Amino acid sequence: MDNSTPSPLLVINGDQHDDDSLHSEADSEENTESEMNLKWWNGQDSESDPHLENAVQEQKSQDLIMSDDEEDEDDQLSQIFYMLIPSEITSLIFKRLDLSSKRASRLVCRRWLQLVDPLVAWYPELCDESVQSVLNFTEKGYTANTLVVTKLMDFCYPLKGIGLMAQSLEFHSQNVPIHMTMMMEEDPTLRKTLGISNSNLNMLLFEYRNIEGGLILNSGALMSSELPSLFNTTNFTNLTSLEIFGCNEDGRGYCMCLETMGNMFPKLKRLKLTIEYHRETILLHHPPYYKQVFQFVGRHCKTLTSFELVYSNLTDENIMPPFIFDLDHSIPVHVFQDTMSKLKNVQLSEFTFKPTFYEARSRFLYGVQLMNHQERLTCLKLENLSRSNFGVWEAGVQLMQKCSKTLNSIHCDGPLDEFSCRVLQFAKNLKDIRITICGVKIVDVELLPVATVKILHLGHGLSANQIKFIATNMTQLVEWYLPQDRAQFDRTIPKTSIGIFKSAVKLPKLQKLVLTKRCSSWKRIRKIISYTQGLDVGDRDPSDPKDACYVKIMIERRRLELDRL
Amino acid sequence: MPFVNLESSDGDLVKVDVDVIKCSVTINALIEHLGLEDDNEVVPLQNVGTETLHKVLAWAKHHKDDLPSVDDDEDDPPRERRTDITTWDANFIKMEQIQLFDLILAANYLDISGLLDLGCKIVADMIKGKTADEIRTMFNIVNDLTPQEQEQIRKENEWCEEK
Repeated sequence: MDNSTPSPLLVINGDQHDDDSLHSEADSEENTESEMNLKWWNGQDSESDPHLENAVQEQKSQDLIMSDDEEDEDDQLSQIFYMLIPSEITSLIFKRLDLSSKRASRLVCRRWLQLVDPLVAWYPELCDESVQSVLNFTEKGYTANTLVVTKLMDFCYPLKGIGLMAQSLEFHSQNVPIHMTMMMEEDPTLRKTLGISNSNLNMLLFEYRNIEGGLILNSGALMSSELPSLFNTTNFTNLTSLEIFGCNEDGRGYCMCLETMGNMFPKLKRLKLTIEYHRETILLHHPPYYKQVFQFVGRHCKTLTSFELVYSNLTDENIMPPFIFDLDHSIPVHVFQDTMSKLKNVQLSEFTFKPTFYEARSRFLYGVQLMNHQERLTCLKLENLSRSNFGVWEAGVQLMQKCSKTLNSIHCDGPLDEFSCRVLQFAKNLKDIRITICGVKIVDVELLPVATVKILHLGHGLSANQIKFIATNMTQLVEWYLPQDRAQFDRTIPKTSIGIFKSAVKLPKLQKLVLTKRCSSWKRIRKIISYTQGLDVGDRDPSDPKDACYVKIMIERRRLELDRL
Repeated sequence: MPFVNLESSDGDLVKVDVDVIKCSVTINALIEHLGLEDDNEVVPLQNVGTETLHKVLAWAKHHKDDLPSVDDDEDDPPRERRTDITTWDANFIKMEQIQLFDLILAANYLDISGLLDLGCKIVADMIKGKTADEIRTMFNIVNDLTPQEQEQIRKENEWCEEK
């Protein structure tokens, strides 16, 4: 029984961004495995072993533990596990447990609790309902990775303080991140946020002013737009990571987040900003604060290595492009030039940029300036580019060429022009490349560094020759996204076919293959499935013809009948 | 071929090929320390009973030609290395809990990492997937937590994640 090989899987999927299948497959594999182990263990009594029998025969009768008296044995048994306690053995055992078994073990007895606790990470959640639990918890003197604060009203802040050692602090309005709640907008009760009052916020910020990890601020968690005084006086001198989710329909916490951008955190390495708008009116009252953001980035040029700026929820349906917001005017020339010169000095290893399509020109100039001066980027993500971001895309291509020696991951959602892989021909560290949007032609695929790439997504319209080249030469591929959606409109592009499937699964290391149903037929899909020997194929609904573009099939690769292909 | 006499905590002598027991760091050190010259010297093992000693030796004999275990690879977390148990080991380890724990203790005392790993993996597998009640029954552990404490622990369980 060979249970140790990793199980590759195959996904046929209309949604090219769906990554869940990989995880769920990994989970199910783990379950099966532990079940098998369990069965095997439980079966112990039915079989005997010659080696053991020899040993048992030589066993001395005075062996205390093997007493025939059942009561005695019970007493002994209750001590057994404790025999192991003084040594480091127990941690060897508990370390091997998965999280849910660790949780169960915490409930066994006090001793076990003490043994397991050092082996897990803590994210205590402070909210109105959990104040007492958090207080009990703090008395144990543990260090928490992150204290998560949600829904803490005025009167509930523990009078004696939290006193918990924490690496990071998170302020959330709910357990659900804001961008998730967008989906539930129809239900007003779900949109209601109970935030943290200013006095609580002030106390917490003061109490945790020396944290060395991260500070995550969700503007929706903050009750009032009044600025807490601490953000002006406390400087969190040890902070290494700052994440801000700026989103608020009525703008309550938004301004406070803006104020944070006026600060200086001398050890800050990572900045992540996610800014969401619901209605254009908000934009009117609370304009995008890119001016402050880029000033902030420039100010932290000595320490910052990772910068992520994402404007989300800004689709055509939500907001009509208000080109009138030419916010460049609000930046005085000397401020603009000062920021531009500081951005030259920022050397990042990770850069994520998701621009909005109607925003003012300066932001692009800032963004492009930052991109033009990168020399050792390892991870580049340019998301949701559109026509008006052409400058960003051009700078991105130049950046790929310039940093090709260091880059190991490139995600570009929406290149705006023909993309030539030539710029990446010397990218010897490149492992993950995803350049995705319908209608964009990818050329010079054969110039990609074939020996290193493990994850590949080159859009929706590869030619037959390109597919053949990849399937023959990119032997290290582990994940391959191959949604040939453009085949619907372009007869020169091959549709999802059995041929494509066959050539792809021959790649020796491939674990996940994503094909699309959108430009194939159920007949073909069924045939592809038939090659998998009807194994666990999940998340598909062949009975529903409307569900034409969503098919997900997971297959354990080792049981594929490769010979039949 | 040199032999060594091991004396169990029960006072029994067992003559062993040094080549077999070389997997034990402790015995290697003892042999070196005691400077054993002839086959009649005795190495006392105060923490290992006769029965357990025989099991250890059975395991050691089977594994004496194994390659020395590779040092832990940084990239490989322990959880992913646990899968390989040979059929022989699987049969070997089928024993009563008490014997199993004795064996683990002996492996720890004698510093035989392969056997210790095997034992710990087996015990971990026994715990996996069980509820606290089931675990208590299995190991006959008395629950010394008050209902209030259990309530607190359940709450805390929502906060803990893999390290």
